[in-house]
Amino acid sequence: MTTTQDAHAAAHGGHDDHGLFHVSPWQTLVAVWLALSILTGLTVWASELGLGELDLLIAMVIAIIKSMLVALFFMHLIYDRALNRLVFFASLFFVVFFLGITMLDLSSYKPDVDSYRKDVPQYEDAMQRRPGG
Amino acid sequence: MTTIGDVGQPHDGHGGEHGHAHDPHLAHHFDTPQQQYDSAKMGMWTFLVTEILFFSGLFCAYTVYRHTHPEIFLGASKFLDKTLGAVNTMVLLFSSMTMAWAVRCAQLEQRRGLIINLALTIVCAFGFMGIKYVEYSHKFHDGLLPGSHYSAALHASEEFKAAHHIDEHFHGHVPAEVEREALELEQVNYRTFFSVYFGMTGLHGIHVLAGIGVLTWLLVRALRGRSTGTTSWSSTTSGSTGTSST
Repeated sequence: MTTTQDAHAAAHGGHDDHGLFHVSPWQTLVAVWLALSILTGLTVWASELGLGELDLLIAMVIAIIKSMLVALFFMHLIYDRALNRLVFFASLFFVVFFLGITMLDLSSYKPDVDSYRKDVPQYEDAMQRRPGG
Repeated sequence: MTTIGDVGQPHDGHGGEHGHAHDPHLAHHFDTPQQQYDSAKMGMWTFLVTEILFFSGLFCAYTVYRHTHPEIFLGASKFLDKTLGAVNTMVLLFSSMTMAWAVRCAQLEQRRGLIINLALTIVCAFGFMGIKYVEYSHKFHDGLLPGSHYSAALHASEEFKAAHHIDEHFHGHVPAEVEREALELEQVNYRTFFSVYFGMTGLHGIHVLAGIGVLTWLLVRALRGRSTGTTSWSSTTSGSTGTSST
């Protein structure tokens, strides 16, 4: 841990082993901000390349890294109690669960949707006339 | 940590009992400032987690819709301004840093730095809302609205023009009946894209406005020089960091 924190804990009585809280050095804050800005630039740059399917994957991976930087450093989660980290990551687990189950459900109906579309000539006709379709 | 027997003992006003001075910010139902601080912070994280889950409903709508109608996302997203979006992201990232810095200042009891950083964060929030206003105005003007309010003129993409042999001087002309019908079929679902768009960005905008409210309250307190008590400060401000950076 940093000397700033020790000094601070001492200034406040130092009755706890690891101080009341962690104080982030300003250098860390600036470094994280720079990293976030560069990653944003990277997202914009990658979107210009026209990589098709890869676009979404790249954007999502960068977004996950960015949100982790914010949560861990700006919001102190990396220095925080393990319980708070657990609360945060448990919620992410449930988000993945929520989206995952929904997508599974969606794909299980796909054959029905496809056969419905075949039965409706109007729809099929429109799909034929779509550019590139 | 304390034993169960300690919980509920009146600590305030019994200064000599524990060998350290009592913090006036320590509420009577907490044993130690550490316990109070940790409780406040966990409460804030619990709130943030409900926010994540609440937004994930919208992310789910987005994912399902994008999965089932990828062509609408390709077409309708052309109406979004990438430059304004990127600039607004940079504004938000800068405000996340100033907010985290404000927390640092509050922890170190640096009143001047705290005031500067809170003010910068609020300015960024207004800047964000200003840019959002410009983006929304363009869309309102072009009729790119959610659901039944959608009234945008048909817009032929380069791919569409090539596929239907429409010449380059399409602008302003009503295309022949067949092309028009095909265009309508392609763009009839853009309204749903804009429902999702306004739902997600609008809810985020409301959060930014709420953040402005909370930060103004904190700024007024800092200006009055009241309570730089770290326990109350840092837990409130760390929550605001999250809100300002989402």
